[in-house]
Amino acid sequence: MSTKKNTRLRFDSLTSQDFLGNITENDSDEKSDEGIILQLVKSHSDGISVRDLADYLEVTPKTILKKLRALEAEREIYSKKISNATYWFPNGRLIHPFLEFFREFRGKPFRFTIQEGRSGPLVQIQERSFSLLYGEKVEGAIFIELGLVDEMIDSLQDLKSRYVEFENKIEVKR
Amino acid sequence: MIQTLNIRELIGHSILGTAGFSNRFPAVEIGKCAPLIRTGEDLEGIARCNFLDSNCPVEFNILNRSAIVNALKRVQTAYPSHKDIWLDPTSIITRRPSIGYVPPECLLKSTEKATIALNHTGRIGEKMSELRLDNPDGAFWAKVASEKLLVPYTRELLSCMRIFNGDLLAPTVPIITPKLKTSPKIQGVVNRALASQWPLSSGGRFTTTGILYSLHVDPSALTDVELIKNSLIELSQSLSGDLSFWGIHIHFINISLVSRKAARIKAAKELIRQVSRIGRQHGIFTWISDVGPIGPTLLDEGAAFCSYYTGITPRPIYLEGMNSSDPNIIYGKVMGLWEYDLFDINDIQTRGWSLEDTGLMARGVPHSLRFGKHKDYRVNFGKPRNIAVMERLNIERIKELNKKNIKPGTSHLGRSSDPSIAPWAAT
Repeated sequence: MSTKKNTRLRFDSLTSQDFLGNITENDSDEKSDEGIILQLVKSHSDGISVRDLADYLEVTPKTILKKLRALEAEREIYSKKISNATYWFPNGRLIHPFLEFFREFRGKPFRFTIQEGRSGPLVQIQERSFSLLYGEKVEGAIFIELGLVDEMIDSLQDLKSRYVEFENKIEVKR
Repeated sequence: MIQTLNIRELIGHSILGTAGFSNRFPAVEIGKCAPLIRTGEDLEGIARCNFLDSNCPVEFNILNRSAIVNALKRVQTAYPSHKDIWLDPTSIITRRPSIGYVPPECLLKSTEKATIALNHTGRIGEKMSELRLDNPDGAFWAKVASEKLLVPYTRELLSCMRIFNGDLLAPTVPIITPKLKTSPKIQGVVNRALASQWPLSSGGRFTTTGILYSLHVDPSALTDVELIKNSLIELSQSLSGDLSFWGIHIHFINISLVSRKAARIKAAKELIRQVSRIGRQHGIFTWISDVGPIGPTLLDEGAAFCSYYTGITPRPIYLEGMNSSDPNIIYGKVMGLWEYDLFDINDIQTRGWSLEDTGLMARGVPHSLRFGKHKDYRVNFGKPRNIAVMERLNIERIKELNKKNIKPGTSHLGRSSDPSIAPWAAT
C-alpha cells in the first residue's frame, strides 16, 4: 500500500532546493527559437543539418533555415558543404567572462570577446543596435585571430592615415 | 567572486573610490546620491536635468516599466526643442549604469494597490500578486517555493529590464520582519538560490545583468538585535562562497517610519556601517535605496550610493486614499540647499518664488508654472530642483571629504529643522 507523502512546505524550513527544484535551461518560458537552435548547434560540434534540426524541433526546414541565416549573420554559427549536404557548426565559445566587455561609441554598443577558435583564440567584435521598442539586437560581427590583432590595428591606422591624406588632397584641389 | 569596489581612501567611515556596475562602462565614482525613477513622471523630471553627471547611476522601479517607457517616448518627441537644457533621452537610463528593483512595499499587505502592482511584470507577476493577496507573509513564500515561481519570476523581471539595458537587479526576497523570526535566514536562502543559478536566461541571448544581494528590512525589525545580527551572518555567509554578487542593495521599505524613532535611526546607521564593512571586505559596494534627503548622512556610514525619489518627500510609492485637492500635496515638495528643509508651494510663494542658488539651474519658479497645472510644476521645476540640490551636495561632499571632514552629510543634515530629516543628524 502506498501513502501520500505530505509535501507541504513551511517558511521556517525553506531551503534553496525548495525554491529551485530541478531547474534546467529548458525551464525558461521565454526561450527564443533562435536560442534553442543555437543551443542545438552548439551541442553538435561535428555539425548538424537543417533536416535534423527540423525533425528535432518539428518545424519546417524553411523556418529553420531562416533562423540559421540570422544566427550566421550574427556570427554565432557558420555553415560548410560536406558531400552535397550543408552542415551547421558553432562558432567559438567564450573562454572566460573576464575576456568579455562592452563599449559604446557614440551610442552604438559593441561587444568585444575572446573565443575559442579551431586553431587558437579568436577576437570577436560584435556590432549591436538598440531601440526602445525592440531592445538590443546584433547587427553583425567580425573574427580576428588573437595573434593578428596588432596587424589589424596597424591596418586600421593605415586606413585612417590614407583618409587624412585623401582629405588633404581634396583641400589642396579646392 | 566579483570585485566591484575599488577604494582610494577611507575618511572616517566615508569612502572615496570607484564601483563597477557592468562590463558596459568603466567604473564610476562612489559617494553619491543617485536619482530613483519610481514612475514615468520621475523620468520626465530627470530629462530636464542636463547638469546630471553622465556617470551618475540611476535606479528604476521595474513594475512601472510601461509608464517609464511611455514617458521616454514623450521626452524623445519633445527633446529636439529643448536640447540646451534637457538630457539626451538615450542617456537617462540606457546609457548610464542602472539598477532595477521591485519596491519591497509590494510584498507587504499594507496596501492592496501595492500588491496588485506586482501584476505589471507579466504572467508570473500576476501569480505572485494573487498568492500575496491570498496568503500571510510566511505562507506566501512557502507557496512561491512549492510552485517553483522564484526563478521564472526573476526571469520575468530580467525580461522587463532589458529594454533599459539594466545592469544590475536587486532580486525580490523575503523582508526581514519581527513577525517571522527566521526571515533573515530565508532572505539569505533566496539570495543564494538565485545567485547559484546566475546568469539567468531571460529569453534573450544577450543578458548581461548582474545580481545584487537584497537586504530588505522592515523598520520595526531594526531594534530587534537578534534579527539584525542574523541578517548580517546570512550576508557574510552568502558573500564568502563562490557566488557572484555585484553589490548589496539595502531597502527599509518606508524610510519615514525609520525617521520617527531615534532608536531605529541609530540602528539603521549601525546596520549600514556593518553591511558596508562586510561589503568592503568582499570587494563589493553597498547601495541604499529610496532614502530621500537623508542619503548624505548614510554615505557617511560607508555606503557607496544612496538613491532618492525625485519628489524628495519620504513616502511609499503606492499610496491609497491620498487627498488630491490640497495644493501642498499635489504640487509636491522642493528641497532647500543650505536651508535643508522641504518647501511646499506656499512656502516658495512666501519666499518670492525663489530658492537658494544651486549653480546648476535657475533658482526661481517660472511665471508660467506658479499657478498652473501641478504636474507641470512638478516636472518642470520641483523634480529638477530636487535633483539639482542632490547633485550639488554630491559635489560639496567630495570637497568636504578632501578637507578630511569625516561626516559631511551629517553636518549638512544638521542644518535642517524638518522633523523627518533633523533627527538623522542628531542621532
